[in-house]
Amino acid sequence: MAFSCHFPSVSHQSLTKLFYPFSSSYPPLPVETVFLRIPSFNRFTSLKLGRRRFSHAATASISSSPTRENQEEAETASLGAITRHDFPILHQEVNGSRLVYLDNAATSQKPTAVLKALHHYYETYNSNVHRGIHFLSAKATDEYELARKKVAAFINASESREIVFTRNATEAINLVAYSWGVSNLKSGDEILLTIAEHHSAIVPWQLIAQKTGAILKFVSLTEEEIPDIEQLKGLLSKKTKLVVAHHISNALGSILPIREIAVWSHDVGAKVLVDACQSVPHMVVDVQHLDVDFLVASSHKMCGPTGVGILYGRSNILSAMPPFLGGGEMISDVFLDHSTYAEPPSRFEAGTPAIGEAIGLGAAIDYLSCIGMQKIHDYEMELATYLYHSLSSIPSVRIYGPVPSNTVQRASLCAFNVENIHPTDIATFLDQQHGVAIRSGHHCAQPLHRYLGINSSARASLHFYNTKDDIDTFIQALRDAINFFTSFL
Amino acid sequence: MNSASSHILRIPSQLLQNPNPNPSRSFLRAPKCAQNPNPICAAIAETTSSSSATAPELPRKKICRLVAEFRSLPKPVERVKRLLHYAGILPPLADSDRVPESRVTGCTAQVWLVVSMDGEGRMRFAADSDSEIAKGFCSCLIGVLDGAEPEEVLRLRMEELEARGRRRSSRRETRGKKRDAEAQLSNIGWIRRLENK
Repeated sequence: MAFSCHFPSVSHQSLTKLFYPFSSSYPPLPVETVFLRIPSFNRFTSLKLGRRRFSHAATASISSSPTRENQEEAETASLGAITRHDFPILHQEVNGSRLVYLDNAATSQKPTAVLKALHHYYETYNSNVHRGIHFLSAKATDEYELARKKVAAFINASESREIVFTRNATEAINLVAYSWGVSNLKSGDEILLTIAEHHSAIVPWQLIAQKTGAILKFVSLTEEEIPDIEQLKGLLSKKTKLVVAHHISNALGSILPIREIAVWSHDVGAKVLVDACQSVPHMVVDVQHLDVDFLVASSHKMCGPTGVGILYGRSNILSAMPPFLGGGEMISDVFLDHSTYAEPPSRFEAGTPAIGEAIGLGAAIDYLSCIGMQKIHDYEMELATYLYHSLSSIPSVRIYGPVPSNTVQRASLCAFNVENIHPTDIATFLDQQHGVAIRSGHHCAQPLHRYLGINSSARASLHFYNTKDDIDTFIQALRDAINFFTSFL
Repeated sequence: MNSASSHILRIPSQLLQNPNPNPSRSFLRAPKCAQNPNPICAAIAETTSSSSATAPELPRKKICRLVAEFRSLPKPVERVKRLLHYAGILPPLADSDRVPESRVTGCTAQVWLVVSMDGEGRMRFAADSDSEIAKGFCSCLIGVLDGAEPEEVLRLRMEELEARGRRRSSRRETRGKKRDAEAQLSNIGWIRRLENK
């Protein structure tokens, strides 16, 4: 009953050849957008399309071919306007104003399909996985492993056993640190990171460096406030054993050339771990194309439930890694004086996992795949440019990270400060007076803030269900906040 | 992120909520309140005066009046203005006190808190923040707690603010952060010595 889309994975194929595109002032809409145009309904409806069955718990009465009315609607409605109907949480008022949720870099909202998948699991087949022989256990196991396959396909891993479910991306990085790191790093080895890394990508390596004697080296920023890739290349040496880098910075919005970084790193014999928390939810991420050794992501940032994280690791690397946590599931045989261990991924999934939540992540992937990650990325690039230029039109605002251009892309998020006004004051006013949700603080990037000479910043971060109207509301609210504090203080 | 500085923001943040659209009478202390547009400020000035012949007002009563004051302001922007006003009357913190040891750890704003005991055995607090709204919250909390006996400070339950603010969503967060604040206060030697008596 959970949402399912039996179209081929749209991260690697385009469906536009199968259907004629709409002509419009917007970029041509892939067919999957047609099916999300209809406002959400409560009942579940199936639609046959050729030999494919399309079902969506949040839509009904979907036409198999576009009508003139649908065509006109599709021409004018943005992806955000279309998809926001699938997110019940967005349709509420906060402090008397329409909620405008711009804190997606912290966590994303969940579509009805994911909520229903969770509910359906707990209501109809909740059972422990991999252990029981009864019907419920078998079904739960099948769905849990199907979710793993979906993750593998979503990031183009070569096989599903390269996907380890963790509690979150932080735990995934700690797994690599305490398993791979402890057994492969020795005194004098170097770990290369950037100063813009999330704390979860820094602190575990500090702890491992203390244990092993490895040394952490950091890449700083260019004048354009992007991690200095030339400096990174210069710091790589035979001593470098691991390069840890974000794909998209959660504060700068910058996008790193991971494939190139992987090539340079492998040339010196170093492994590459990519923090893809801000990229997997927003763009096509292909681990084979990127040629990385490890990649981590969080379910809750990609429209999935909290409590589930993803670690991708190459098969040969995972197979050689010792366990991280010990307990049930990860063993082969247990004796009083020793134990033998299961093969990956089970070796790294001790105890009862977050079964329903992993299945919910699978539903989120289905949902995102039906929209198409390239479609999401293209739309969010539009939002990113609009956000940046709208924000930079306010004189007292300082945005961190690169200026977007034809050669420099930035994600649809902006960390910024307003002259003489604390970001927490801005965020509080936006929330209280306008229902606009942004974040203030250091965004788990204290070294970056220290480098920029600030204690904290405000951050607006968007996702595909946001619209330009949301940005306009945010900008108007921000102007109001600035006027308020400027006149009062 | 669970932090004490957010605690200082969050616990009184329900002062910004006004579930009652019809402002009720505030707990005024006429005639002084009739002369002073800020009844809490009057109450704070009165209770911190060491020459007062009456016993200092209990923190619990001060909270009641504080919440009533904010509830009497129907618009969120008016409550923010009131907080900023309280921020403006908070005595400045000496630079020598803006040190890491005085930091209330957190990620949304920098807050410094200095706790001491005066010669009469009453708690004295001083605080500052780089955020005006956080400073306003500090000012309100200090107005409630400054001059109280240690037992009164430790006995104060933030659920009382919750009950008056009718806000349940952050109870667990508030409880955890209150533990942080209590830990912060208990780290001050005065409290430990009191508990050892």
